[in-house]
Amino acid sequence: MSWCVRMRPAVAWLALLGLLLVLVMGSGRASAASFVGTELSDLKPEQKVVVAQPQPVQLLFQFKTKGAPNLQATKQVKADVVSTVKASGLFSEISDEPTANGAVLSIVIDDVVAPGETTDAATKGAITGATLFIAGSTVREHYACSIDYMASPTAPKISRTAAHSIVFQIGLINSTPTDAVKVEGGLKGAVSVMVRQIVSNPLNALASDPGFAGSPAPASVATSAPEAPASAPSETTPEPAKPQAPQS
Amino acid sequence: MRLRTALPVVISGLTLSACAMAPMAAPQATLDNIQALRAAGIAPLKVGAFTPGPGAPTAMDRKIAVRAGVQAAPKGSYAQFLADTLAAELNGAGKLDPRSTLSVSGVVTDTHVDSTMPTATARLGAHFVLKREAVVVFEKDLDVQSSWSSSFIGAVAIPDAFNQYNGLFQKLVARLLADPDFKAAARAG
Repeated sequence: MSWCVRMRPAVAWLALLGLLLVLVMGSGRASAASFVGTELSDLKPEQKVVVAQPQPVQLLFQFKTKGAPNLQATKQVKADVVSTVKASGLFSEISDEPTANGAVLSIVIDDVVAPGETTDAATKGAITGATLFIAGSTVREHYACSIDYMASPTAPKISRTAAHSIVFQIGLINSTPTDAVKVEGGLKGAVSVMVRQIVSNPLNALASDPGFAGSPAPASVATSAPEAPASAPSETTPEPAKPQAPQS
Repeated sequence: MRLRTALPVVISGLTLSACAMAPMAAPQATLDNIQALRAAGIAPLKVGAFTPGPGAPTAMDRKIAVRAGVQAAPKGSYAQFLADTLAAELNGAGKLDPRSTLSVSGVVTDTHVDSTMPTATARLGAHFVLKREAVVVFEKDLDVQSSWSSSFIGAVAIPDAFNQYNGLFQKLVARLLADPDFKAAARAG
């Protein structure tokens, strides 16, 4: 439970009430569902960028909550991040240590909380609790991912960003959210899907940048991933390069 | 009957989850600090002893408490956590060498965290010393602080306070690595 609380402040209240629901009513009758937002989805094979000569890379990952490093969540989520980067096929080797070519890939996922979001979740949770879990509650938790890459110690940094969300429901009377897809495996399953999608999309966009191979490119360029919503944080937005031939 | 048996379990579960936090994970290197280390052209360093100073740093070296929440220091010492954070950043940049003649050590001089409403604060300060062989080539007091909007909900306020406090270790190391005097003293050659 502490994992849940440390990771998603707004969902924490609903999760605590969810525990109560499960224990009091029995897991067979409990009504709790997890979704991921439709801002992003899994990449189709034909969308994936293929790199002719993948190079080794040093991977740095940090999970933050409201901008502060969350070391517990970093530990919980890192395996999903590493497997997503591996599955991209963009790198020959992924290491925690510096690599011979000096390439560094930095991934930061921030659990961002909008003003009033926590109070709103607490209010909804209180209503659900007061009605003995008959009235349902829905909470959406937002995440922002920024990916920076340097092909060598002297190469310019290239960046991409993306935004995603997790929706969590408890209670018996709930309507299915129209802008989210249901995920199996509860909150943990939703986090796993969210991490895969929020990393794979901007990483793929990053790989289509001319600077990805270490060739000259504007320094510190940041753009949103193609599937990311317009509200995703970004700096300048140069013309995105087209993906190379689709992966077989 | 089901309620009678379940409720005590639920209440204890919620209470325990508020008091006991999972052990902290190892510190991570960051791209900003790796870039700073690369740009500074410093020689590889070894990390020496980091100890808590008198007062709060010693009292809070083993664990910190915020409301009903307690976070134990990894390896039993927050001073050691500062050393490990520095080592992680140096290692991430390929600048950590246990055999180096350059050694950085420190004493934690200030530490504080609260969850005061509406604005909570955390502070961390240390006296850093850089020695080449046995000669002190740099020493300075550096400190960082953080403030944030605190929640009345403990399940939100406690993890927020711990995360903000933990983040200060990385910030303090970043301050050290960005310090012009430190960079000059640690430069190769």
